Amino acid sequence: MVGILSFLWIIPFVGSLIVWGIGTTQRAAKWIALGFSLVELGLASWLLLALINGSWAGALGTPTASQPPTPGPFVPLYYMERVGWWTQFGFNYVVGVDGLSVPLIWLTALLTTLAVVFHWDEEARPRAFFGLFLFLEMALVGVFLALDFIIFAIFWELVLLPMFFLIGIWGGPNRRYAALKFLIFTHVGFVIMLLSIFSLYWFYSASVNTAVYGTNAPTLDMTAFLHGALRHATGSSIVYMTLGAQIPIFAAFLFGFIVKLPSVPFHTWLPDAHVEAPTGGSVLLAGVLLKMGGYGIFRINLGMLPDAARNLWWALAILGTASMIYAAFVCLAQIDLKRLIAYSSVGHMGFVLLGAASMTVIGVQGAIFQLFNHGIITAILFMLAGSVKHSTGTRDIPRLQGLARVMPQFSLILAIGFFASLGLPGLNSFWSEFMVFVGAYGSPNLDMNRRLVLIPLISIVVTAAYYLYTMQRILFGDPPEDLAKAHDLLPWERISYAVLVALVFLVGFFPLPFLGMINAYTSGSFPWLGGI
Amino acid sequence: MIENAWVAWLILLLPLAAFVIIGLLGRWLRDGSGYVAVAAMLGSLVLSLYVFVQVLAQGAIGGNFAAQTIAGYVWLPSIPGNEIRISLLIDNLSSLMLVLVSFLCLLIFIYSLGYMHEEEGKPRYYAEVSLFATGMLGTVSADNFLQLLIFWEIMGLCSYLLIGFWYHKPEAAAAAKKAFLVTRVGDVLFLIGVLVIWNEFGTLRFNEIAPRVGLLSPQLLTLIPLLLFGGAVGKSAQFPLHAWLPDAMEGPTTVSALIHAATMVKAGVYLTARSFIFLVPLAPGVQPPFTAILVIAGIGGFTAIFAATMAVVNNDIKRVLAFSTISQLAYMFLGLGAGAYVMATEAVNGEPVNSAGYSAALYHLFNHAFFKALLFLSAGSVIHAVHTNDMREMGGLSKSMPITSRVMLFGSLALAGIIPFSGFFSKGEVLSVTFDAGADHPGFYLLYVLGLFTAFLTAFYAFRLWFMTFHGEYRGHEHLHESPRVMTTPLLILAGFTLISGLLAYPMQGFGNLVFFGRPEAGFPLVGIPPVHYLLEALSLGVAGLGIGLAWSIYETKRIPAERFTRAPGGAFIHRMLTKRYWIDDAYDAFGRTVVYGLAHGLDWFDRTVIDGIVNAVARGGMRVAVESDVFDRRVIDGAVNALSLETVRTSWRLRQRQTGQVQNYAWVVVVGIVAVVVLLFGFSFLQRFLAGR
Repeated sequence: MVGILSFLWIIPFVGSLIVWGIGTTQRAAKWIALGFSLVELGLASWLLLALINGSWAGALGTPTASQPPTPGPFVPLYYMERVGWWTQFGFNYVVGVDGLSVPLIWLTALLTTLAVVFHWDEEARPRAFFGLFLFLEMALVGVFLALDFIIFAIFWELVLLPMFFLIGIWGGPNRRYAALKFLIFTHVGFVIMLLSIFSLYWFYSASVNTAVYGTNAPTLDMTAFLHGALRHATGSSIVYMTLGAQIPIFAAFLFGFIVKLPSVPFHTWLPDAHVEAPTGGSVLLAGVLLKMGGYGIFRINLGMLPDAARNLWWALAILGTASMIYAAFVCLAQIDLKRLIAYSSVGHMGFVLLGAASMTVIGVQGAIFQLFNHGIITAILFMLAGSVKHSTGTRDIPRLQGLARVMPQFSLILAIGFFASLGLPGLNSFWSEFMVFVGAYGSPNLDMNRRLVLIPLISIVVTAAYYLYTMQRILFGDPPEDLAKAHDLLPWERISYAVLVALVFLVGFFPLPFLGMINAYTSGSFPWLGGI
Repeated sequence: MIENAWVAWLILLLPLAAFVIIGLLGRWLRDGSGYVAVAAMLGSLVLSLYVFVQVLAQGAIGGNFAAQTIAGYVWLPSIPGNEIRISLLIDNLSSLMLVLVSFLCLLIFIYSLGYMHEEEGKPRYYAEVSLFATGMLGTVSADNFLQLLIFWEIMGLCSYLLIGFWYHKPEAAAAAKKAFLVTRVGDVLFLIGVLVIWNEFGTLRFNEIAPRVGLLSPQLLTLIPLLLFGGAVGKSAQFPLHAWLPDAMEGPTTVSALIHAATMVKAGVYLTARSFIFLVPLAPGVQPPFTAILVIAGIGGFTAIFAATMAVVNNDIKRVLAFSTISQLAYMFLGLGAGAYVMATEAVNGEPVNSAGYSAALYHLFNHAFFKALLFLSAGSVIHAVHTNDMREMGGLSKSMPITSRVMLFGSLALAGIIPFSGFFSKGEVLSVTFDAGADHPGFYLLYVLGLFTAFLTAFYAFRLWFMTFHGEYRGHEHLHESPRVMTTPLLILAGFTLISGLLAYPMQGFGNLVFFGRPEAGFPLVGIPPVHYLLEALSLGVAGLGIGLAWSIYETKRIPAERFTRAPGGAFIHRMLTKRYWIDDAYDAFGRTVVYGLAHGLDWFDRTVIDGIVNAVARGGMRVAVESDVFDRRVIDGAVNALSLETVRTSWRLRQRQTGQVQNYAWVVVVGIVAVVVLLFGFSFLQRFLAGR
């Protein structure tokens, strides 16, 4: 059955073909891209509303969790679509969504639309430019939808192509180096991930498939592993992978995901890629591409390999804490505004690892919520870096001064974005960071020494320091003469900012809709997690 | 039960609405924005009074009013049945604080109509102070620690924005950053406290925690109030996080009066009062955390004299008042600490408890809010006329500014603690509670002496300020004038309150009958009604008179030249130490510059040179291998791989014809990657079998 979920990736795919592949005028390209991305956003919003409140689903049909034929607990996945493909080899087309993927799918649709709007004045090859955006959207949505390893891997790899060209063609002066670095880093991560997929397929999938679906054949169906892992972790007597088998696979997947996330020490592709990428590319790169890593950690590392996760939590905790502190200090030394924002992403993704490492319900919820919140905030920040470059011709913090006077709208948005990013209570990312810390502090893993939670907390102060220091330098003071003629935000830029800032406040004041959805996911998928 | 309790939400929402309206429409409202803010605040005051009168009518004096929670919507759904909600708590303390805060906000907003009249950016000012009012009203009405933290940080944000109101001045920008960062350190401690509380109790609501405090281990019972106190130290500018408050005077004077004297800095005292549920666990058999209590009282006693000494040598009229605020806040912490010690000892001994210290500290909070707001606004009136903060360029202003001069005299008398002005009652009460605590722990006698000496210094610097400003000859070059009525009317109202607020305790048989912890004081020595300890009160009054006398003879009659102190042996050093603020600010700056930025630049270097160096070296090595094995690759491996990669390569070539990218490299990466997959897959499966022992 192919339904709404498949349309979620088919629509942008068709859109990209029409914008780019089939000839249209340059002028029409952006309108076509906007139309397709709006249709996609509408569809994603409908799905989001359906998951927030089942009675709003309407024609989609109330979301009901799909259940494997064998009795026992099962991971709630909604709107599953399954098409037999090379069934004899266990390759199928399986897509489905839950409280983990729907916020990210919606985020993808939203940020793609806003990126198209933000680049309304793009002059250089707009057909290819907007076509690649839609192609990227297709691949990203596909990653979050896929529940078959092959589909997952194909979409995962397809994400690289458009981003590579977006950086390599529309990027800054050092774009070739940055694009290649991005490609090689993430590709190496992918290769190692692929390795563990094959390993799962050859060695373990048949027995898991038997236990869950009663079919003794190898399979690449991720749902078999998800249901099997849940039953295994909640104590049902079921044949599942042993701890010794889980650990190497866990490590290999984790490597792929922390390169993408990214985590220290595999993060250096990120600042280079961002500095060179066009604004819309940066928005999607930081807003959604990084989230693939976080998504993978919850879907696969925690969702399918629970024994290994419970044993290797310390690796996640160390990587996360190291990223948070290291990135915060490095940010303090940055001169290029965009590079600073890029490093701050590394730090904020550290929260995701820390939340996952806490192995508590609230910590995992906070980490998932952080994926969403960071996507919103970092989109604002990268757009700001684009706006200031467009307006003043530079992003160098020492050359910018007194912008509050010449660019008041820009300054207001910058202040909101910075305060949201440093976790000001009442704005969205406060909730996710707070929940991660609650989880980390209350984690059963830290029973020996809860004082360790102080280490990641240092990063909160340093994060506030680098944002305030930056604001002091670029917003305050008297503007130098060469900035006096800088123009403020452009009309289409204002639209993008208005939507994102509204979300910052809305989610900050009323986090419940998103948290409720995430709560449903964690309580269904991870009843074995500890904590309060 | 309060009727129409939902109106309590409007107390917070009206200023929030003003913030939104001014924020969105400020460009069109211009001068009207001030009136929007004033109207909203007036509404908040009326509603606060409506709530407070009901609380009083239902027997708040004497302790017959049962605290009431007004539940709001869910914030965090994580714990079924125990979600975190935004809710308002209406009890004696919070309903009084709502009235106090909205009243002071209203007066200062009205004053601002005159004071900020010539400023650009008025809409920004009124939007930010309205948001601040929401933050402060939300802080004092929160029913759980998380909500308190959230509104607390909203205040911090507004404080940052308003200190930096004149953002083009570099000092203002630096002061704003310093204020936010230093308080942030305290906020992190507060946040940890919240984490610990939630982890232990599964709830953050005051009323649900209080009966279960006995379940805590002794270590945690000590740790939690100290962590919360850490937040209070930051917000209330106590040692060692005091450094931001004097610099915060870069903001407009109205902001200093409202945020950095009357309201926000009091939030730390309020939080410590709320954490009495941990300090004095009224459950049988629970050992109170005496260590934590001593830390609070000790920091209070020390900061009181520490800040007062720095006020003595400063020549900036606002900074003197800022140091004075730190010192007076420290009195409140001293009172809370001493009161908690007495109360905890009584509880352990099974005696009836009385919360005299708790009531005295909050009484001082109440009185100080009025007289310090008055002092700042009078200083603002002076600055409005002479256009400088430096008292050396003032003098003789009482002729041209009679109203300002007289109301400031009222404020100074209250600050110095002269009967019958309000400061006398509450400060004397704090000191006598400290003296009483000495019977339980001798350390409090030392703190009492420090407090008494601080009272002397307080009277001295208060009147040094007054004489230097209003007496003698005018030393500046401005055309002097009294401030307009829109500014002097709030001054006169506040001056009235410096007289009344001390006497308000009489009709309620002592302030401790309205604001208390545990149960009201009826039957105990009553707070706020002197004289309880005739001797102690006389002593306080005596040292205050001494201080005023010294100030009079140095700055008015000049019978004692000030140089006598600076020329004395060691005097110059002490003077330099005090003007340099004990070098603490310099030490913090040096730490930030060398350690923090040093670390930042070091790690940045590491990132660029070491990590990226390794990455690039690996890439170069890979390139070389690829080139040198090119021939081998083409002939042997490519043949096998081409079948797999044909489609990808074709796509790449098609892309290349359209674009000018690094397609060839991409193709190579794909090829190498797939080769790697195949090779590693074999290796990995071999390893797997090997591990499995097959």
